[in-house]
Amino acid sequence: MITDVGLLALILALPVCLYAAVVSVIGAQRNDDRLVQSGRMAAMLTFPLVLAACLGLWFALLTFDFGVKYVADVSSRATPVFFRITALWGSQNGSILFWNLVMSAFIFVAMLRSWDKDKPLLPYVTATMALVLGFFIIVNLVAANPFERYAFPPDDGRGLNPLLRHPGMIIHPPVLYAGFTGFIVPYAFCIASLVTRRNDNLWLRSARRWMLVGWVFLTAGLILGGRWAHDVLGWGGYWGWDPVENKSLVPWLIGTAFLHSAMIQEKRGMFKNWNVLLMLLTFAAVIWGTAVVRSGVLTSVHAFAQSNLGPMFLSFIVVMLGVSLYLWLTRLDVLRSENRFDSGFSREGIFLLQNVLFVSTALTVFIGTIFPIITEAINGTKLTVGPPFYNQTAVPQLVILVFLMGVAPLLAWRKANGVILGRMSIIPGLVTVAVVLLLVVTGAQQIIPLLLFALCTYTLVQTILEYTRGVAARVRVAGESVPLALWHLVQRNQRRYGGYLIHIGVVLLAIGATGKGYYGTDVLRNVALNDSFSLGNYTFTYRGIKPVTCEFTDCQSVQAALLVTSASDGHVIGGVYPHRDTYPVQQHTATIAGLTGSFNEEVYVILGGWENNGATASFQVYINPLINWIWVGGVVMILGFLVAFWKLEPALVAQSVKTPRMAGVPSK
Amino acid sequence: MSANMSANIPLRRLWVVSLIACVLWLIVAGIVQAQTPDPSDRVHDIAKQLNCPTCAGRNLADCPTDTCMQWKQEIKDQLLAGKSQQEVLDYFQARFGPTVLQEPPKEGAILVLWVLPVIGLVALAAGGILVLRRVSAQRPKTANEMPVTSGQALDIEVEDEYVARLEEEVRKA
Repeated sequence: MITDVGLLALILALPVCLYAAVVSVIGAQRNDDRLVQSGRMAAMLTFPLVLAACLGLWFALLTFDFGVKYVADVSSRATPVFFRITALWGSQNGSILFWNLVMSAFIFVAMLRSWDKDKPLLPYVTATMALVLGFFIIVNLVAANPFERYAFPPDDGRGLNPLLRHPGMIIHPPVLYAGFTGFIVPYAFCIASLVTRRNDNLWLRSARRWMLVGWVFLTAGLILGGRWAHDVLGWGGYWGWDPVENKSLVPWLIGTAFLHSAMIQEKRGMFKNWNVLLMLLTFAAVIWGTAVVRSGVLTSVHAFAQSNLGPMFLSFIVVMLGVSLYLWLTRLDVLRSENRFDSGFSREGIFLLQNVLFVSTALTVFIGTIFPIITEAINGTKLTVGPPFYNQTAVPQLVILVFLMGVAPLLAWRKANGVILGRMSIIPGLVTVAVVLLLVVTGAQQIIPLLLFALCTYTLVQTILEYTRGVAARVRVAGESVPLALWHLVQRNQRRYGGYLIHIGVVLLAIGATGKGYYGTDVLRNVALNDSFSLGNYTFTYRGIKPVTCEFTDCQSVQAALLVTSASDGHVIGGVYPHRDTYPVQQHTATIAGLTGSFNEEVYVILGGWENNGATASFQVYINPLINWIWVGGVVMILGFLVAFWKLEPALVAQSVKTPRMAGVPSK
Repeated sequence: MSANMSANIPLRRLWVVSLIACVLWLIVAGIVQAQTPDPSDRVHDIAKQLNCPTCAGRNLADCPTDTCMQWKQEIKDQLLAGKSQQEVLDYFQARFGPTVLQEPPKEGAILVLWVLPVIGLVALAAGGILVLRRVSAQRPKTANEMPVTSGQALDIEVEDEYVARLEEEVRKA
């Protein structure tokens, strides 16, 4: 009963979306503020309605209502309460409902905020967001209905997919959804600006901030996804250039390009066309990515659905991209640059290069992801485009981007000075040489990782110097103490110094990726009881296996014990206890690693199998140097976002945009 | 200005010398590396270059399923029979097609996959340059352009333009 009310609320949300879109546009055409406000209220109403639908499904999950197909698919009587709550996004149909919840929440918050400055855009922002949400609600009702019922309810359900029973998987989807759906707000601002033929920065100001919100969620989602894959998939890695990872990376790359080039428009009134295009492409990439996972056209470790959503999403992408590009092309002359481009060797020039690389990398990842679909359509070959492709195509471009991060802040707007660039590079250059020498002395031999570490060091030092130079200037000119100068420096330009902190996070991440990528080793060994084998500076002694209590009631677990000692002096480093969990109902085996080592070097042990009750067992051992730097880098990136976003001075906002008042619309 | 320049020259020389030293070190290190053969497990090396049918998105070496264990056994058998790494890879490719390889071969229709990203990058870069040229040629310099900041505008001795920019920001704030 309560579940049916949920379904009813979801059905009701659709006409509300349509009403919001139609009324807003009519209100804008007739200059009728009451209609515009009514549309705004309707758009806000979608949030409580979708929330009611979610509550309905949660009710079914919590009360073991296995008559609902979805509930029977993702939970069983053995499923703990916690996982029955998170099961809302544990499979396709429910996760689309949850997606709608997050999207409507973004719409709600965007509509709730003060609209005085953005009044001219409001009706079209409302209409755009309502229409996109409307599409996803249609998908939810027609092709992916989580409220569908069995004629004869089963006694028990199948239980949640074992892979999803991990803390990373509990927060990962909501965070990722917030990243994806968050882009709806800046997209709507962009469309509204195009429709109203404005050439100012009004849309950009709001879009940039909302974009940043979506961006940080997407960043966090990507990193949490990597962590989840590392912990659950038993492969020692964190990123496999898997289609589902790629579809999150493509909008991230284009969105990051937008966040940077938006700066050029704000500071120099240039790249207006380009910024609009980037925004449109970012959102198109979001929808494409969603379609890729949802339609089941690609197999992946993360994809949990096979369905017939493909055609619906494809037609939506065509319509959305068609309308977006039509608006863009017909407004090209409105969006002319205010300033001219003086020199390629300038901040603008390097931003352009950086934008080209971001978009080109996104394009590369896109090509690699869809290529198997194309070959399969043409001649039925199911090609796998694996990491070697991306390592040779996308990674070099990302490496250049890391280098540009170090150089770009040194270049002046309009025309930079090479002598300054050279002089500013002395300290970072010397530190880089020192680090490289140190690495070579301590035994680093491969040339490519050394180059990469050199690059990372240069960029890292250069970025840190951005802070120290700023502090020194404040100390000199304003006569402040160092901590106060730092505080004021960051406070006066949160966006810049938050941005630099994000750059530092990226460098840490790059260092981690280089360490794992080039110095990571792994080995597969079959050992008898109490025998040993070595890898790197570690000796592993097999001490036997035993059945242990599994974390969940629907699985059986077998755990192995290994003693890890130092290969050089024999001192005990620790014990590792990898286990294999078998889930008979889902016919799934989870291999959970045993971990030891240090912060800089993770030792990751997988129990491959055993014979004769454990007389012999096989282990796959990974040594992952610097992998923890990746997680630290991710956290630093999020901290950087907080610095950039937390409190934007109102004065800065006011001066960055001159709002022309729209005739006939009274401001509050 | 000239005094300033001459003071900088030793530093710049140092910078160039360090750079050359660094490059030399890297080359030496590279040669050392090239001469050291990697003594790691041969089955494992081959498995890393193959896709496993049961683990989507992971290579054979990283996949812990039973099917993959059988494949690894097959690699081992063939190596014991005296086949080389390339022969084993060729065998798998002949049996399962190019889809079994982690790295799609740069030949035939699959070459398109490798060429497209390069075309994309070149096209984007060319497009960017063309548009900028047009913009630079068409737009006359307007009066309200941002002035180029320079140290001369400030009343204190400044080291260079960059610090001048920073200090100007401090004043404005």
